[in-house]
Amino acid sequence: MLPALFLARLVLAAVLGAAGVAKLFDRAGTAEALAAFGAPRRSVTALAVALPVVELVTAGTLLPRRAAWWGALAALALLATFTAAVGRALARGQRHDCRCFGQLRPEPIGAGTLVRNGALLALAAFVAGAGRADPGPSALAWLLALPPGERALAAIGLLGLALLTVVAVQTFRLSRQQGEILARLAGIEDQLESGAGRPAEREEAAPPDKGLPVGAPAPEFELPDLQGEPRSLGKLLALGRPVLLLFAGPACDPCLALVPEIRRWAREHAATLTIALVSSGEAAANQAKFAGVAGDHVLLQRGSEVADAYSARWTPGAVVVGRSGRLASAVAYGDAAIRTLVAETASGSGAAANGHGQPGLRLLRHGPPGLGDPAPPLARPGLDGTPVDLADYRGRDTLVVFWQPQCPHCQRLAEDLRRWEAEPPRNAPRLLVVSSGSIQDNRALGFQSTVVLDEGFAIGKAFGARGTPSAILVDAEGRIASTVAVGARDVLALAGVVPIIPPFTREVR
Amino acid sequence: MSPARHASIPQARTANLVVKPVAGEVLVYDLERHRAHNLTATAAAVWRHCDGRRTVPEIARAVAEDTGTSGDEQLVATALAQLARARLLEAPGAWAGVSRREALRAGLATAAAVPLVTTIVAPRAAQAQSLTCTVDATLCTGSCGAGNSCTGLSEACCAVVTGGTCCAVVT
Repeated sequence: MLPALFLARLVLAAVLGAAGVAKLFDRAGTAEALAAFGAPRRSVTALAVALPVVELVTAGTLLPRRAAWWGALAALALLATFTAAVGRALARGQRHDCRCFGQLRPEPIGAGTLVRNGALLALAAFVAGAGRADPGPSALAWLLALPPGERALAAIGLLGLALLTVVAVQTFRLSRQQGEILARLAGIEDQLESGAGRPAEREEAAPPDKGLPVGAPAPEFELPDLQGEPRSLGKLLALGRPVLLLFAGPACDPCLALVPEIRRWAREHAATLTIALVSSGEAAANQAKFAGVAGDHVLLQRGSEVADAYSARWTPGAVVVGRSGRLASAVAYGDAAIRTLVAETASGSGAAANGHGQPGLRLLRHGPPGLGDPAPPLARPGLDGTPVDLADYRGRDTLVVFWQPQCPHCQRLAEDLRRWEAEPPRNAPRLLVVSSGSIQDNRALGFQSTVVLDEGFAIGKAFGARGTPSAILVDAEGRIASTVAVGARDVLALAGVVPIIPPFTREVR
Repeated sequence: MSPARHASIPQARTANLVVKPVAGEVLVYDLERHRAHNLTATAAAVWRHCDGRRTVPEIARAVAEDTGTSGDEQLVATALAQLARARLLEAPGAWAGVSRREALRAGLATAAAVPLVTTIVAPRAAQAQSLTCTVDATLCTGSCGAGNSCTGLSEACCAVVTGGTCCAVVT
């Protein structure tokens, strides 16, 4: 028993002594750690000195036989305090530096810290419990037993050893600081080389695309649901309600945060809106995250082909397809915009309430016409002098295209439109081109469709167009049936040229 | 959950954010600040596990399972600090203070030096397309013909209207 008690005291004294010396050399770090453990800010500077002194005194008390038991009690109290502080911090999820051994071993607290403290606590308890009567031989007895001369030499030797320890600690500290400086320099060099000092530039970081123009035919698709059953846009529309396509993914946290609301929307608006969640990735992951979220309308893409066709490349995004099969909204991105879109669509104030929309989406009371408003007057002579009036085009959808012969973007689109005229898609609208420039320049375009001249862009302005090429759809009753499409992609979309998405089927095992 | 515990557990922000996976990384677009952030696989895994219930050690273990790495807690702390600075965490102030210095002290020079979350911007031309203008705006000068095209408009040309010039943009 006595050798074990003696050994336990030596271990405790060595650990506490090392911790005390290390803390004295790292008083700033010790103060920081004490503050992190919850010590009052005003007293941490004083405590950063007092604590290592107490540790050193405790370590020293453990060595002589007479004081060893008291030293064990002090060690027990110290270690119990440390363990309680670490346990409380861990329970709060804090992971700050322990600084238990100053700069010697800076590390965040963790389960290992508790285990180490627990072991030391057990040693202190062992000495305090079993060593009250006899804690074992004195660790200093050999020194006291020496003749005076040798005792002085031994004391000088111990002092030298202590000095060497101090030098070793300082050297270790300096080497760490040097390593820190080198690492900082390396980091700065890396940042300079990679240009990380300013935001990197990447094509895919473009703000979310609002998608195809309202009024364009929605791209048809056929995707498997979570059970592998094929579901198409046509089948969803056959339910007789507008369809909200909600683009999401199992690894999209903002999408997962919306799941409870999607469940509620699907339940509360079942009579007015069909919600389909279009996801991607592994079926199992989707099953785990989205099973039953939108009834059985959780559909899986092969990749992102449907989202790409709708230009909804960020998630969560949502778009409404009206009962007519035309897009009834731009793509709404993020939880707030999706909530608004769902509320508007479910209440019937959005464009999806009827075939081509309602005046409810009109944003500018005194500006260009909104969805469902009568189209502005459009009466001009054609290139051959024949009077042309948009009112005469009633009975069939008409796409009014705004054009400039000298506009390079129009020139690039011209070939596509000529091909479209030669082979129009099913249910394609008629085309009426409103252009500027000379009769010769416009004749040179080679369009089969009627072209009228609009010098000064007055007609374009009346329709809300802001440049060329742009277009707007007017329905068979002469009402505005789309937003203004700008750019080749959107003009072609209103003309009925939409991406063809190959059907995707998935076997369920 | 007590306020103290809540404050010490990171929670990912989800409001007004949209994401796009790109080649093993995740782009996050902040619809409020109109900034895009690129998350490395590690940062994305950390962000995904910030569910307001897991502590930092638990996140580290979950990240380790996801990525097959050692799931170092200091690396998680570094990622949390960078996510907080990008405003991708709720209560970011509680986490932004975990500094490179602490990671360096712990000997994680690589973690401290390598950005796990970077702010990125779209190329200039694409940015210009997102400009909005009214019918009577004069952002565009001149016409699109004869080499006098509208700078930054890759999809459409401005049109001269009565009383001014209007600018067409892809919105």
